[in-house]
Amino acid sequence: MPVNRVAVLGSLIAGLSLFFLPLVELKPNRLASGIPFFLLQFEGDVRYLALFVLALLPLVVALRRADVVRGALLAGLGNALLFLTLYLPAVAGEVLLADAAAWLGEGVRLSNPRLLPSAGLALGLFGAYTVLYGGLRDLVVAGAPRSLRVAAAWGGLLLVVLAALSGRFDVYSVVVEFQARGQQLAQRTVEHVMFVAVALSIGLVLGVGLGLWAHRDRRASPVILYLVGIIQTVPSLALFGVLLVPLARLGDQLATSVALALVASLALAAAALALYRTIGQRLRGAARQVVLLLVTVSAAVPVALFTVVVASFSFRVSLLAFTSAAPALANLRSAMLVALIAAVGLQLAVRRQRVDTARRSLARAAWVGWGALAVTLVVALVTASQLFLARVESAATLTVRDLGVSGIGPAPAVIALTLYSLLPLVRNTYAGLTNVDPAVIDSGRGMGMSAPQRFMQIELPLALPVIMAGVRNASVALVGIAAIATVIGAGGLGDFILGGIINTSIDQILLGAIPAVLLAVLLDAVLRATEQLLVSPGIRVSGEAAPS
Amino acid sequence: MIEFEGVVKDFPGGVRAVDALDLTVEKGEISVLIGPSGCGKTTSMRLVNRLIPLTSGRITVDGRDNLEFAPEELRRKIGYAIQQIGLFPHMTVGQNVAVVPRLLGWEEQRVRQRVDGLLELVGLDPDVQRDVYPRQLSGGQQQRVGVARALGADPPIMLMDEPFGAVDPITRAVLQDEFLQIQATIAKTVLFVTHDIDEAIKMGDRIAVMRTGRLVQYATPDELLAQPVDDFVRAFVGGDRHLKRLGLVRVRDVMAEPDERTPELDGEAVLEHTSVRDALSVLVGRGFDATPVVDAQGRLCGVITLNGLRAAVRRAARERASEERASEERAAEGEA
Ligand SMILES: Nc1ncnc2c1ncn2[C@@H]1O[C@H](COP(=O)(O)OP(=O)(O)OP(=O)(O)O)[C@@H](O)[C@H]1O
Ligand SMILES: [Mg+2]
Repeated sequence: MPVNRVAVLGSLIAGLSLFFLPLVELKPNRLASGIPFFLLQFEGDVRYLALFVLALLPLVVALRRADVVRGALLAGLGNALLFLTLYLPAVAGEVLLADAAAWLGEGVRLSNPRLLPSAGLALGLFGAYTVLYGGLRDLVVAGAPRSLRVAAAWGGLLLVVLAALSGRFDVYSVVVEFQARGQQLAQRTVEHVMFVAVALSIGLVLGVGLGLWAHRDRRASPVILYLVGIIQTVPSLALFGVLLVPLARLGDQLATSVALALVASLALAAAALALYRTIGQRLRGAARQVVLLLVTVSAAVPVALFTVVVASFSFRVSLLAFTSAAPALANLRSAMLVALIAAVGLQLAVRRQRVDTARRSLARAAWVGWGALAVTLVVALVTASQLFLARVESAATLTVRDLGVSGIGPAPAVIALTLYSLLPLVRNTYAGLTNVDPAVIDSGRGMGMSAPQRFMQIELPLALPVIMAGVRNASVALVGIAAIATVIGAGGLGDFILGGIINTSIDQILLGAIPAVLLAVLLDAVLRATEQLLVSPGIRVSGEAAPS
Repeated sequence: MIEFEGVVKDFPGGVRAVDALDLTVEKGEISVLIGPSGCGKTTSMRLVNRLIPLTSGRITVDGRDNLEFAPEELRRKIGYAIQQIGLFPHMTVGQNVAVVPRLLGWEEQRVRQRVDGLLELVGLDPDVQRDVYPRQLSGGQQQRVGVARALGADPPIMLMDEPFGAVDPITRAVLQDEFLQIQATIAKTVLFVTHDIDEAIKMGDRIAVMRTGRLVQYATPDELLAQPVDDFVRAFVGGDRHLKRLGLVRVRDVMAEPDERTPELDGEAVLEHTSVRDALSVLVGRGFDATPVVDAQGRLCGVITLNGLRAAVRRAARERASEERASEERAAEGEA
């Protein structure tokens, strides 16, 4: 094997940027700009230069023969670099901060001075990670044991987290900001997660349903795919604007009359569909298009009403369920956490257990855990909705606004997010179902499976990997889009980002952006794990098939 | 028993895929449907378990019109091995084989035993192959699983659409032999589709030759080879049909008693259940006039000679000529 080019690249990036670019900027307070510091300017001894040497060491190692040792060395260097790039400037920073007034000169208002990480530090981290990645690739190619690979992948990050928890990084501006606004951050993060979770749940129902319809009805599929494609092209700000007036109007309506309208439009849609079923087939050309359009529009009304009300209401209620200080809800939250940990633990144990009977009872226990989680979640949601509706005096005066629908705020945000989640979900459901080998469905038919059995036992499991890929796409995209919800006062992590932009405070922007990125990565990992559990090893794309 | 009575199938667009088909598959027998690609073999088969509706005519299964059953119920009673194998890739081999028993609501214990039994029957090792996925199997192994799955709930009737189509000739021969062995004990009523005439001759108790949706001839393999009804069938069975016919006769049926000189013959011995065709090939190929015959245990039990084989072929031809004369006479009487 040739030179490890990835590690060489990482090493050069890290070495050059640590040496030639400023690592930190010393700032007198949150807003004022500060003065940059290079590696060579750090007071003290040669320790800081060690960072530079460390960054260039992988160059030598990368020339070695490709084997486990090279992989382990590179990964070790990468991890060390990752940690020290954060740690050493922090140590130096403490010295700088202690004497901040002297550095910044007289006349500058010092309030809560801090160190802003600069380009050198960011690129240094990037280089360190590239070296680490090069080492990990060596380890994978050389077939290193799993434990070594895991340790190599997460060791440096673990050190960073431990150091952060022990207060080593308190000098950095993001950490300062975090300490000042921790409470607020938690609240905004929960809001952000709720946006994604509620939009994704409702989008999943709608999207899989529409994808199924597109798959079943060859005439409807181009219309459906086209419409959800169009939604995607509408800029989110425009979508908020479009939703503003109708949602405000809808909010004024009495809930009972809206329910009536829902039932009436459902009946209308059913009638239109029946009409299409009977005469639509016989119609030709334009007449058929008109009838199809009629069906689509009449079906869209109840779906839209339902989505709007359910999405807004679920968002309010789930937010309440996960943030309310009411003791009942707090207890339910603890119960949920316990059930979740138990279920995940049992599920992991199932995979390790080799004895058949033990595995089966563990699997049963895991199902109990999941069931308990579902039950506590439902109970929490019901409790929260009672709490939410407690303000309303009677059902007769209940307006749609009382259910959480409003022109600005979280309602339009969660509705827009639901709409944005549709394209990947519909498209992937449609593609997944359409690409199932017809011979396989045919043999299911030939063996006497009914249509629902065929769907549940053959089509769905075979389309699942593609559908799950759509879910992951949608969820990662939603984490990003949800940040814009702040412009209509909906909350979420976007609050920090927008506030940071307005105040030109990079610390504040980072306070919103870093958790958003972490959230996306975490969500992706959780969904991948779910996919591992749900998708049969017989059709998994990556990874070896099950042991024989 | 499966009976087709005047069955017609038109596809939308005016394709008549099956035209006035009359055919009876006797209980416990294998009937082979053969014909060129697109002649309507698969279509005829799929009419039986109602995967497609027929246009007119009637199909009875064990004496009952197949329209009397709910389609799902009918299909669970009829084993079906489709042309493209169509194993469920997300299920293990064991789960594939267990599909119909589970649909029928069998107890888990019984399903398990049945699956292991079937896998053994088709020559797979349950402990090794039960829990692997189809993609981990070779083409031949997949075909075996396809057959085991069709046998799943022990259906009295089987539809097999080119079940050994996708494998090399050697594996195919092995699979054919194994299925014949299985059939000897389970005696299913089988409708078997192929477009390989040698497979038809080997597997079929009867062979139905189809052409563009019509049944041209339905006869035992020997009759078909001896008396093709027209030029189409004659061309279809091939110019070597007399040799193929020898393939239906076993050496043990035409061999002579060994005499004292037999052990000294330097020809390689042939087994008594070898076909006469293969024995002839040995004699011609090696330039022998005679060769000894041994039984499965390797004991000498007879001798065959070129002259003896020639006499056997002549005898068969004479019998056929007299049969033909007799049938022509009958036909003439009928016209008179
Ligand atoms: N679903 C269908 N719609 C329209 N025509 C069809 C359909 N299925 C089959 N046909 C037509 O019916 C005729 C018979 O097809 P069939 O599949 O029965 O042939 P086959 O004898 O099984 O051929 P092969 O040996 O290639 O499998 C063909 O002309 C085919 O084009
Ligand atoms: Mg066919």
